Amino acid sequence: MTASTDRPLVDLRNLTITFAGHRGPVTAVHDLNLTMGRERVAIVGESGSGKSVSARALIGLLPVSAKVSASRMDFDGIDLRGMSEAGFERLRGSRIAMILQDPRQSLNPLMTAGQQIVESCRLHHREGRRAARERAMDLLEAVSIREPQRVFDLYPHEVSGGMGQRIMIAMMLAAQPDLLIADEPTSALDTSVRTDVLEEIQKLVEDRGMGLLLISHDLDLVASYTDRVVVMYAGRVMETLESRHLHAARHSYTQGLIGCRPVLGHPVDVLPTLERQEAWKS
Amino acid sequence: MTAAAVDIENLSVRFGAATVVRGVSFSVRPGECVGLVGESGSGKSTILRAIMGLEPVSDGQIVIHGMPPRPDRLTRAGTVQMVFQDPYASLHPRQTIGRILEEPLRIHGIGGREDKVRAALSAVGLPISFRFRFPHQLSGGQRQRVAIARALILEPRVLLLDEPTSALDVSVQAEVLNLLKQLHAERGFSMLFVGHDLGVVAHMCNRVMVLENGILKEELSQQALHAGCAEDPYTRKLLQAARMEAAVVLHVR
Ligand SMILES: Nc1ncnc2c1ncn2[C@@H]1O[C@H](COP(=O)(O)OP(=O)(O)O)[C@@H](O)[C@H]1O
Ligand SMILES: Nc1ncnc2c1ncn2[C@@H]1O[C@H](COP(=O)(O)OP(=O)(O)O)[C@@H](O)[C@H]1O
Ligand SMILES: [Mg+2]
Ligand SMILES: [Mg+2]
Repeated sequence: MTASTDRPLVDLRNLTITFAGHRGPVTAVHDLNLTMGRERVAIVGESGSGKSVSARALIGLLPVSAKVSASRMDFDGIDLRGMSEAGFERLRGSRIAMILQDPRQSLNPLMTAGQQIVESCRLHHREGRRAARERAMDLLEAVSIREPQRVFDLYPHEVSGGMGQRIMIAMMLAAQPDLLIADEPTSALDTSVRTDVLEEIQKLVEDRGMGLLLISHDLDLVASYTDRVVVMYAGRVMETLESRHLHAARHSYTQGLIGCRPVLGHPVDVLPTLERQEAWKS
Repeated sequence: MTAAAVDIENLSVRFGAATVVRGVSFSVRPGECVGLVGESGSGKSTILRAIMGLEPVSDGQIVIHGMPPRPDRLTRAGTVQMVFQDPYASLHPRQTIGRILEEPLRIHGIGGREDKVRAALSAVGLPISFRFRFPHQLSGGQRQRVAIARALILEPRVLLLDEPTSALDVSVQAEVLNLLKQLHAERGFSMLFVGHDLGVVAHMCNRVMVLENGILKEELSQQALHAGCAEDPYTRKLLQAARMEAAVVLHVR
C-alpha cells in the first residue's frame, strides 16, 4: 500500500449531480466539496439529502440519467471525470470497496460465502485454489465468525444481516482497497449486532490504513466511529466538523437533528422539532 | 380493580415446530402506554398480531376490554387498531388518501364520512387537500400520519404500534411521536408500542416489557429505563448498548 504522498485520497470540488425530472432537471447535489485522506469521514443528513448519490458518483455507480459535473473529482490523483465504465470497474474491484445497507444486495446469491471470498482472494493474491481457501477461512475468522467451516458453505439468503456484513468485510480484507465507502452499513441490523459490525469495520480501516467514508443518518453512530462529519441538507453541505465536537455543532440544522432525538436518561415532555429554513437551500 | 384494556395470560404462539412466544403474561391498563422491546425475531410483532386476532394462539388467552380478540373486521371496530412500521406497504398504492381513510367507515356502515375524513386529516396535521393525493405523492412522515389517521378514524380503545417510526428520519420521528403523545392525551386510548430504540420507548411508555426469544424477561418502569436500572442480564446488555450510543452526542438542548 502506498501512503507516501501528500495527495488526498478523495478530492471533490463543486460536485453537482442533476437528474432529469418530470418537470425539468432536479439538482440532487449542489457544489459539494470534500477532501479526505486515509481518515474516517462521515456524511450525515436526512433521507434525500444527497448522501448516497454523492458516494455513488465517486465510484461511477449512478444511473445514466444522472448528470455529474465537478471542477475536480480525483481519487488518489486519478481524474474520475469522464472515466470509462471499465476504468470504474477496475477501481471498484481493487481500490474502492462499498458496503451497502443490505449485504444481500452486494453478495452474489448464487455463490456460497466461501466461494465469494475465495474468488476475491484468487483475484487479488493470484493464489491457487487451496491457498485461497485457507486464506478465506482465516478471513472469516478474522471478522469474528465463530464457525467459519459452516459459514463457508452458506448462501447469502441463509445468513443473517450481521453475518452478511461480516462476509462483505472479509471479502474486503482479501481485496485490500484504499477506500471503503459504507452506505448505512448497519441500518438494517439490531442494535447489539451493529456495534460488532462497526468494530469490525473500524479494525479493518485502522489495521490497513484505509480511508473510510461512512454514510449514515445516525448521529450517535457517526460520533463514535469517525473523525470528521459532513452534514448535508437538500443536496448542500451545511457544515463540516470534527465528530467529537458534534455536541457543539454551530449550524442550526445540525443542532436540530441532535436535539430532536429522545435520549435515554433525559426525559422530556415534548420533543423539539426541526424548523427547516429556506435559507439552508441557498 | 378496573378491567384491563389488554390482558394477556400465559400466551404461547407456535408456528409448526417453532414456539416463538412462550408463556407471556402482561396487561395494559386503560389509558396506559406499554412498550415491548427485544431484538428482531424475539416475537414482538407476533404478540401484536395475536392481539389483533391474526395469529393462532396455541396456549393461554388474550382479553381486550373483556372480549376475546376477533379477526373479523366487525367486532374489531372501535376496539383495536394497528399502525405498522412501513407506512408505504400498509397503504393501498392506487387509492387516494381520502378513499383510504373512508374505507374503514364504509365497511362498518358509519355515516358522515366526508366530515370524519376531514377531521381525521386535520387531527394528524395534514391539509384537507391531501385527500385527493396518492400515497406515493407523500413523504414517509406524511404517510405515517395517514396510517395513524386511518387507525384512529374508528375511535379504537386500544392502539397497537409496531415500530411506527423506525423507517423515519429522527427529525420526522420527533414530529410523529409528538403527534401520538398529543392524540393519546386528548383521546385517552391505550397503547402497546413496539420499538427497538430504547430512547423512543422510554419517551413514549409508562412501562416496558423486555422480550428475548419469545420469553418475557423483565418489566421496567419508565423511570427505571431512564435511570438504566435493570435486574436481568439480557436487559442490562440492551440498556448498556443504548446508553453507550446516546452518551456520545448528548446535551445539546
Ligand atoms: N435515479 C434517480 N433518479 C432521480 N432522482 C434520484 C435518483 N436517485 C436519487 N435521486 C434523488 O436524489 C436525491 C438524493 O438522493 P440520495 O442520495 O439517495 O439521498 P440520501 O441522502 O437519502 O442517500 C433525492 O432527492 C432523490 O430523490
Ligand atoms: N407466519 C410465520 N411462520 C413461521 N414463523 C414465523 C411467522 N411469523 C413470525 N415467525 C417467526 O417468529 C419469530 C418472531 O417473529 P416476530 O414476532 O416477527 O419478531 P419481532 O417482531 O420481535 O422481530 C421469528 O423467528 C420469525 O421468523
Ligand atoms: Mg442513502
Ligand atoms: Mg417485528
